[in-house]
Amino acid sequence: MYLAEAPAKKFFTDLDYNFELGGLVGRYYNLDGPVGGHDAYDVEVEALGGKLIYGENSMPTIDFRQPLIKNYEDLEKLKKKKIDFQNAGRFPMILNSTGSMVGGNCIFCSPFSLAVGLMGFPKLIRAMKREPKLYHGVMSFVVDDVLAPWIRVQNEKHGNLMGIGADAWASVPNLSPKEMMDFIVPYNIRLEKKCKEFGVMVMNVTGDYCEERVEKFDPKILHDSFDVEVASMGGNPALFLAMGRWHEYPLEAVRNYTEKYRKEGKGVTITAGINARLLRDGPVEKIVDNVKRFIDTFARDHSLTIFLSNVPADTPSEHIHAAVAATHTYGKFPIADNLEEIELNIPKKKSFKEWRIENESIIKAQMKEEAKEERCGLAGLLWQQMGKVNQNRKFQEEYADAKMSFLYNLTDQRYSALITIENGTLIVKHVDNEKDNVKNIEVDGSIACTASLFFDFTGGKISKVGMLLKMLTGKLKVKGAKKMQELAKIMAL
Amino acid sequence: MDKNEILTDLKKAVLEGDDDLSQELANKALDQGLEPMTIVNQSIIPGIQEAGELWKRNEYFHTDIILCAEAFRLAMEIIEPKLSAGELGASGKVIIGTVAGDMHNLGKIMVNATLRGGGFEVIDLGEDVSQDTFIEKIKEINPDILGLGCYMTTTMLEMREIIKRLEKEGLRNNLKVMIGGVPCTQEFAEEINADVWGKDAFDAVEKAKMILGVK
Repeated sequence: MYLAEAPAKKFFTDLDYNFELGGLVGRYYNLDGPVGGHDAYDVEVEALGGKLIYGENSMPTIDFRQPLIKNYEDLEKLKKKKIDFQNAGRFPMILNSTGSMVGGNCIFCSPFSLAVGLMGFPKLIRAMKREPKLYHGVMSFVVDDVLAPWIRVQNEKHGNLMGIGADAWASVPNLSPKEMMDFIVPYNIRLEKKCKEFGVMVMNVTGDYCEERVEKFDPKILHDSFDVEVASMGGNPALFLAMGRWHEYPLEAVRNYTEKYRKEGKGVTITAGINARLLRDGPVEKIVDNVKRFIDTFARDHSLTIFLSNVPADTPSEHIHAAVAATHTYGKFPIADNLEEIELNIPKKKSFKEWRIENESIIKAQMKEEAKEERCGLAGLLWQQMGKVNQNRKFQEEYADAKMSFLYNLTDQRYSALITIENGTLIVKHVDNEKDNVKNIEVDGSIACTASLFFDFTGGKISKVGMLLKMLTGKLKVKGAKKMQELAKIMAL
Repeated sequence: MDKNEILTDLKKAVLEGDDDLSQELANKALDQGLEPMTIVNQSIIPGIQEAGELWKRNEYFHTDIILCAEAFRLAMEIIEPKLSAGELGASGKVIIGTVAGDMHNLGKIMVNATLRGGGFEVIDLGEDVSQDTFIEKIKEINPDILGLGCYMTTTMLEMREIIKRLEKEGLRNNLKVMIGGVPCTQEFAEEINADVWGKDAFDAVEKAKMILGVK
C-alpha cells in the first residue's frame, strides 16, 4: 500500500484494487506467492458491530476502547443478534472478490484473536483465568456462531476448500504454550471439525514463538509452542517461524523438534519469516545471511518457504530485492552442499514508481488473462501441486502422446476438478457442479465423494478396509481405478 | 490479621494478579493503620518487581503480567489518594501514549505498571493520541520522559513526526523520548532521534532510570 502510494481506505475496502496492486508489487519484487490482502483481524469484529478506526495512511484497527463484549450480558446480547453473513460490514467485499482468496484459501481471524478483537486482550485473559463461563462462552460463540458459518458462506461462494486462520495474539510470550494448549487449541480443533462437515480444511496459525529477548530463548518453550502449532494445523507438522527473531535464534532447536517427524518419513513444512525489523533496518548482508542460514539448515530435508510479512512501510526496496534474490539463488534445487561457493547477484532495480510506469499496463493485461484461467475449489489446489509437472522433462517425454482425463467429483461442493493430459501437457480446470452436467463428462477415471472424505482418503487417514467399506456403501465411487493409478504416478513426479 | 501478614498477602495478590484480593487487602492495610508509603514499598511495588523477575526467567508470560498490572493499578488506586504530595514519582514524571491511528494498548498497560513500580509518576494519555495532544500535555505537565507506543508498522512512522514537532516547538531538549512497541527497534530509535527504545515493559523501566540517571 505504502509502496504504491495507495489511499488506505480504498486499499482496504476495494479488494479488486488491493489484489491488482498486490499483483504489481509481487511482480516488481519477483515474489513467488500472493501479496497483500485485507486486514484479517478486523473483518468479523466489524461485521458484528465493532468499531474500526480507518487511518489515512494505515491499516484499519479495532477501537479497543469500545469493546463489543465487556461482560456476560454483552455476550448474551450479541448472541441474540442475527448476523447477516452476506451483507454485514465488509463481508460483501470478501464475497464479491476472488482477491479475498489468498492462494485459493479463505483467510479468517482465528477464534482466540477474534475473541481479543471483541473483548480486548486484558479482559479476555481475565475471563480466561477468573471467569471461565464468560471465556468459554465467548470462544464457543466465535467458533459456532461466527467463524464456522462465515467460512461456509465463503466456501459456497468461492468454492475454496481450505481456510487459514490468522492468530498473532496467540503467541509466545503473550501466552505460555500450556495456556494455548489448554485454552485455545480445543477451540481451533472445534472449528476444524465444524468446517470439515462442509468440506473445508481449516488451519490456524497459532503458537508462533516471538520472544524478543534472545537471552530468554528457551528450546523447551519453543518445542512446546511447536506442539501448539501442529495441533492447530490439523496435526500436520507445518511450522511457522513467523514473527520471532529467527536471525538470532539457534535454528538447530527447530531441527531437533522436526527430527521425530523426519525419522518417521513424514514431510515437514517450514514457513520461515525474515524478521520484519531486520528487513527494514538491514544491512543487506545480514538479510542475505539470514536467508542463507534458513536454506542451509532446512531446505535439503524440509519443505521450506521463505516469507516476508509485516513488512514495515518504509522498508528500503533494495532490502526486499536482496531477500528475494538470495532465496532464489541459494534455494535453487538441488541445494548446493556449500552455499558459500555460490555467487549472489542482487539486481539493481529501478524504483517501483519508474518500473510501474513502464510495466503496469502489460502486467494488468497478463493478470486479466490469468484470471480467465481461474481455478476454483479443488482445481486450484491441484494446480498448485501439479502445475509444475508441465516443466518436467520426464513427464513431457513419457506422456508426449498421451490423451487421458480424470474427474475429481466433490459431491458436496460447488466445484469439481477435471484433469486432462494431452500431448505432454497437463491441464486442470474446475467444473461447476451446479451448471455443468458432471455426470455426463466422459473421462478415463474418476473419484466421487464428499470433500471431507476426499481429504481423509488422500491424506492417508483411511485404511484400505475403510476405503472398501466406503465404496460398498456408495460413499466413495471410483471408476477407472487403473487409470487413476497413472495419475498418481504423475503426481509423484 | 497481622500487619505483616497483610503486607505479604497483598504482595502475593499483586504478584498473582488477583485484582479483587489486591483491592481488599489494600483497604485492609489502610484500616489496620499501615502507612500508605509502607504499603506501596513493601507490598505493591515488590509484587510487580517480582513479576518482572519471573518474566525474565520465562516463568511469567504476558497473561501473568497483564493481570499483575491490573492488580497493581487497583491497589494503587486505593493507596495513592492517601499519599502525601511528592511521595510517589521520585524517579521522574512520564507522559505516555499510543500514537495517532493506533488503538493498541497492551504494552502500554504493562509499561504503565512497571514505570509506576519503578517510582515514576505516569500520566497516560490513552490511545490514538494526536500530536497536538502530546504537545499540549508536555507544555502543561513538563515531564522528564515522553513515552511513545505503537503496534503497527504504519503508525510507527508517526513517532518520527512527533519528534520533529517537539524540535519545532522547542521542547525536544527539555525531555527524553522513549519509544516502544512491536515494530520498533534500537536502530529505528536512533534513526528518528529518540533517546531510547524499551524492548518490553521491564526493559522500559530500566532504560527510563538509565536515561534520567536514577538508581
